[in-house]
Amino acid sequence: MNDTIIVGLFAVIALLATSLYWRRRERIVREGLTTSQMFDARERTADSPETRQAATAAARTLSCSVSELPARVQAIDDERRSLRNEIDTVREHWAAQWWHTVAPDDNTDDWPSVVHATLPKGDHDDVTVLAKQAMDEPVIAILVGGADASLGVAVGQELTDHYSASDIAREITDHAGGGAGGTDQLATGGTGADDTDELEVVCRSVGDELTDRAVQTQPRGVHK
Amino acid sequence: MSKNETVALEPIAVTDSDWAAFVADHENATVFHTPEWFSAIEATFGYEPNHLVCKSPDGKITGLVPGVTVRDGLGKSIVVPFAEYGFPLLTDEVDPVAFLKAITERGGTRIIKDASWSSVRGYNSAGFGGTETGTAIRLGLTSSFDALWHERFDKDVRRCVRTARANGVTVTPGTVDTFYPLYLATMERLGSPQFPPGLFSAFRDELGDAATILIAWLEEQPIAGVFCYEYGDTTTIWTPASLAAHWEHRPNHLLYLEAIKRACSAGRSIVDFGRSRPGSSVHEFKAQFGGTSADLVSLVAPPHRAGRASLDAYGRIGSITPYFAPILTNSTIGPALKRYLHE
Repeated sequence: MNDTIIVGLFAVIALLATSLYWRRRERIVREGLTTSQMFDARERTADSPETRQAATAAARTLSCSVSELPARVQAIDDERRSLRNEIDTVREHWAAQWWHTVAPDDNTDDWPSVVHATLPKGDHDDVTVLAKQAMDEPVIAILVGGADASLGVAVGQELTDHYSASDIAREITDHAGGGAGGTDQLATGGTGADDTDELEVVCRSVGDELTDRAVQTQPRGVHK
Repeated sequence: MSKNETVALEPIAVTDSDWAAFVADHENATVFHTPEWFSAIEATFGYEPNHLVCKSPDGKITGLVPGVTVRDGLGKSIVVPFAEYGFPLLTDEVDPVAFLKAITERGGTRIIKDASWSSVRGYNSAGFGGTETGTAIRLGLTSSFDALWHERFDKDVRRCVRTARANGVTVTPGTVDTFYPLYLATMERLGSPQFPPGLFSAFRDELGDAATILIAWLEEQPIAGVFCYEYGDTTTIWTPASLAAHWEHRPNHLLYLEAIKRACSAGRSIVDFGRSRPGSSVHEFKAQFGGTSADLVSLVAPPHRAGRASLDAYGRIGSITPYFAPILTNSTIGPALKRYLHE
């Protein structure tokens, strides 16, 4: 290789490095100035005619003056939180009652006791609160929400040495699609599918497999 | 000084009593603007001070931007390290754009940490670039503590606080000696370099009662703590610490609750939970207390150095640093490294 080629190679590398440097610098400047412009714009828009019109329209909707808006919005936000708390309380009561109807018989010899349930119109929030209810019981609960193909898995405290809710949930979504995550006691997720047929089949299959594995490795009822 | 005039900046030292008086009178001042806070930082890390003020013809301070020179990588930046806020405090007499332009004309790299709730604008016109660094959740104490408990806090907060109390967790004011082992355990868990214990002591010495430590106890064992600033009308929760083995006892919920309760009792207006990334578990935890998010932006001059203020790299390496915890949190190496991290 003669000197001309070596010099040429170095020149190309230097040119590439310089181009990359300046391209990166130009990108940082452009993005940085956009960010500072957006930051500065916040106060300016607060005094714009459009903002004043929007504030007047909001005040009219809430039947108050513009100066009363902060207090009015605060009151509405407080009311919203209060109602949400009320919904949470009702949901907890509902979950307790619902769990009572699906909870396994205390005298069952199955170990681990696996409970399957599908809430035809239930969503992620419903499944989660029901799974939390099941966490206090010595069972593995596999729950499906029909409204949004959501999944909830709960493992009772005394079973966590042997089973992990997040592992079970991931095993289900590995087969049914979607994703799941959580802790050893509680995991949630979903498939994002339009229906829950396949999800329910996989849940049942994974639940049966848990029981089968336990029968092979653990004397029946040893932990009861 | 009339607006749009050229602003003349001059350095000011933490020992200048005019600084403390100016900050005490400014409604947007935070503890991170006080000379006492910088005195502790400078004494501990030996940073070169680079605080600037402008004055009226009669010699009164009309604008202040604090900062110290921190070496980062191959260069140096002037910044307020370890804080969420380092924006200028200006009186109505000062044109913000002229003040910011005067900063850029002094050369070097200046990083100004600002938030959407501050009143300083004009960075773009003055030639600053910016980078977003997350959000700060701030709880406005517009109602009584009881109203907050029933109407603003999420149900999970009430449940976790009840769990903590049922487990026998109690919270009391604490000392640096009690807090530091908890803090060190947290840094070791995260694989993040730690502050030296002397920094917390220096804050206590400089700020007095405004630097508060709360400790959560379980059967006479400290299991979690928070280092807070109770300054002006704001309580800022600066550094939480806990033992992972006791998370099930929910001490962090009880600690935050006690900090909020103290702020209510003292008649403060805001509890600032500090910076977090939306979507992160830390953000979710803080959001449970019903605060609102304020966007945090670091403004940088010259703009091509905006990348220096980015915190993305910390997030990227956060998953591997726990493996290097014994090195990164070594009692000599950790504090030495911390000097170069100004997150």
